[in-house]
Amino acid sequence: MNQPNIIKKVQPILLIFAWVGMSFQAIAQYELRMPDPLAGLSRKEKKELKNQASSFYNASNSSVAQAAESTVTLYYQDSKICYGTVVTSVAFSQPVILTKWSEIKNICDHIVAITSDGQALATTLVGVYPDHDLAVISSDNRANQLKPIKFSSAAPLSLGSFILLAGPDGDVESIGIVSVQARSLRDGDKAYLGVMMDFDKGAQGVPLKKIMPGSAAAKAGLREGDIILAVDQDDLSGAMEMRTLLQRLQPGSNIVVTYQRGKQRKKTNVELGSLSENSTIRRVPQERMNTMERMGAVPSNIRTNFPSVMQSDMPIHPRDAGAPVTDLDGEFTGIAIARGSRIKTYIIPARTIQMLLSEKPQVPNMALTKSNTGSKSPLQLSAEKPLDQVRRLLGKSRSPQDKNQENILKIQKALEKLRLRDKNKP
Amino acid sequence: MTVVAVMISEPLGAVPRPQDISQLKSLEQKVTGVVQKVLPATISLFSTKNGASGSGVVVSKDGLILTAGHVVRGSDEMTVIFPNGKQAQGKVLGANYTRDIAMVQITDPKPTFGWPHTSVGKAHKITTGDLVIALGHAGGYDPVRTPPVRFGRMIARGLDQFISTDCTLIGGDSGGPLFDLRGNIVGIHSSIGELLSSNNHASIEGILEDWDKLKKGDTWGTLGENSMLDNPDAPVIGIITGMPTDKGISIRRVFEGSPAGEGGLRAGDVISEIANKPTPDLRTLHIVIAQHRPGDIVKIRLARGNDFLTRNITLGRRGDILRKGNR
Repeated sequence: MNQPNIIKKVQPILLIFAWVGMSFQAIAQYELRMPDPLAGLSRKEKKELKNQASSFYNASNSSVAQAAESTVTLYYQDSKICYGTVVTSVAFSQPVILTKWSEIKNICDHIVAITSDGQALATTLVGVYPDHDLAVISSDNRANQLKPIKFSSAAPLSLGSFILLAGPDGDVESIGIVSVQARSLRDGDKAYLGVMMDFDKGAQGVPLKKIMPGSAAAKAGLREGDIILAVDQDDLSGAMEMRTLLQRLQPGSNIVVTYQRGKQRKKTNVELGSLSENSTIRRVPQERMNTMERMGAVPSNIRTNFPSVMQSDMPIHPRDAGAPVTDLDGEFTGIAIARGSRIKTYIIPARTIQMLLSEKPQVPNMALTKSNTGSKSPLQLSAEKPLDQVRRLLGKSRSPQDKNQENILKIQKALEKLRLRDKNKP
Repeated sequence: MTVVAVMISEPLGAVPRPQDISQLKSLEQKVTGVVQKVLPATISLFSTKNGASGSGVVVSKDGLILTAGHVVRGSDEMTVIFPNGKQAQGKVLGANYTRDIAMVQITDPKPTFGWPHTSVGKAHKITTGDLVIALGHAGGYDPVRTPPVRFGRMIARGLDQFISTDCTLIGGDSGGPLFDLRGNIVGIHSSIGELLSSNNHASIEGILEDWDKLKKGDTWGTLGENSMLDNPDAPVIGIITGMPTDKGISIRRVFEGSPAGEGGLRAGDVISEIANKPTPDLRTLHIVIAQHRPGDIVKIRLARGNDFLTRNITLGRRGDILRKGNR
């Protein structure tokens, strides 16, 4: 449900775009057979679409009420950086906040958290789960004001289930569906045999064009020209099938490969390696994908290589990362971690979060020197007129203007405290 | 006229608007139900010969596939991959490039219970605000993931039987199916614009109109040069083709500064041979061009009035022709 979100949150911008767009794009787009779809609609139809979008938000608002109490907004100076989710962890006696590590990395000692009930809390970084791009921050002595999210034991969601981003005001900030079930995005989690397959379909099996030196295939004695007939019990009808089968296996697992060499039918045991680089048949050219990923969306700086994420078509801004996501029953589904592209947002599933919280995170100092998430410096961020930015961002939500001012005052107070604290440090 | 009258008289209140959680849940149930039913039939298509790739949907037990015209262009055979990883060979049947629709037939022997498929169903004309579900192998086939599902509604109807929705699409989705909440196919993904609400699909109405011709193997029409989902690196000569004649393929327009223009081709010429291969139909022309790369020189034999001419043409890139403003 992408349009509803756009229409609700940035309708003025959208309409301006549509109007300006008409003046110089209309002719070209007519010839392109790709008219701006909204430009062709009557006012009545546009209103219908807008009301329809609102109906989805209004009907689902009550579902996020509880989770939203655990949503905090993180500020650096006057800028909203991203959201956070309050959780309890075995490693900490008080509730802590989970947020997107790469967004706060360079400013982690100066973050102010505004709770859903409007408290401004000074925070410090206390841990990092670098693989998941998650940071744990804590509010020194006022953690009792934080309301941790409740984990549920509900069954996993089906593909197509509706999910909701719980904004700190208790409103649904974005709606999407489950597009793809949780998976690892890391190539290292895919098995690798180390052969170049002939993708032109032969009569039977998959001919091998090349064996990578030192690979699992080489170690198992496979040679160029061998024709793979089966992997374990599965007969193969082509290279794509074989590639799929292999990538779905775990690195380190053992398979029996049946192959033909000359007139002989042979078998060999292979211990699979790990896919270190992209496979040879690449799909849509990367340059073109890069352009398309940004069409109508701002992707997060860190948006890949997550060990476990669910994919949704929910449209979010990179600064919406860190917020809790729920299903229609209000059960905690996961934490939004990145806008991936035009079509996708990644969400770390609640189950993964729960597992992480049962282990100790990395000590911040180590993570700071070790990890190389390469995020955009927040100083660069704040260079783009912070006050305008915060107004624009807050303007997106339903908060009235005076509430923004109130928040800004609170942040300034909290920052003042931080400065005092820093001064008192040896 | 009757269609127009019906559309006007239809109450706008028909736009689905959930009022509470229970109504949202019943919508959700429809979405998850449709996805479960149609996902196994949402296939990926690619050509080992020219690297073309996209998505499609199997619509019969026998393995008839609907896809986009620009996905099959230049291919006579394509590899079909099902979400469960099974692969099969497909033969390209017909295509209407103007509507960006095409058919492919799986040629491998049919499994005992037929290929996973979904039926076209009774297509009812969807209107602005109707809820829809899109599937497709976004970014290309990925073994560790099922084709991503997206949800949205119809925004508007365009020319040439195209419809736009806010189900977001990206490269690799082309040719994939759009469904209504009853699980009927209502469109085939074609192109995108800058806005999240600009995702364009060939509507089922156009497909049903052209069904018999497509199945018979006819290839006709002109692709919009616009599609962001299309491959800018594909080789082109830079013409809009007209009707096939008994001498070959007629040229309706030659793009300024294109390889065809530089090489002296003109509107009205008829292409009878390319690279020493006769061109009785559009598909043959596309296949021969797709076997080359931009920069290759191909010999084209032309009929111009009563004369026969031969011209050498240096193939260009689709993306470059676009950049010159030839739209």
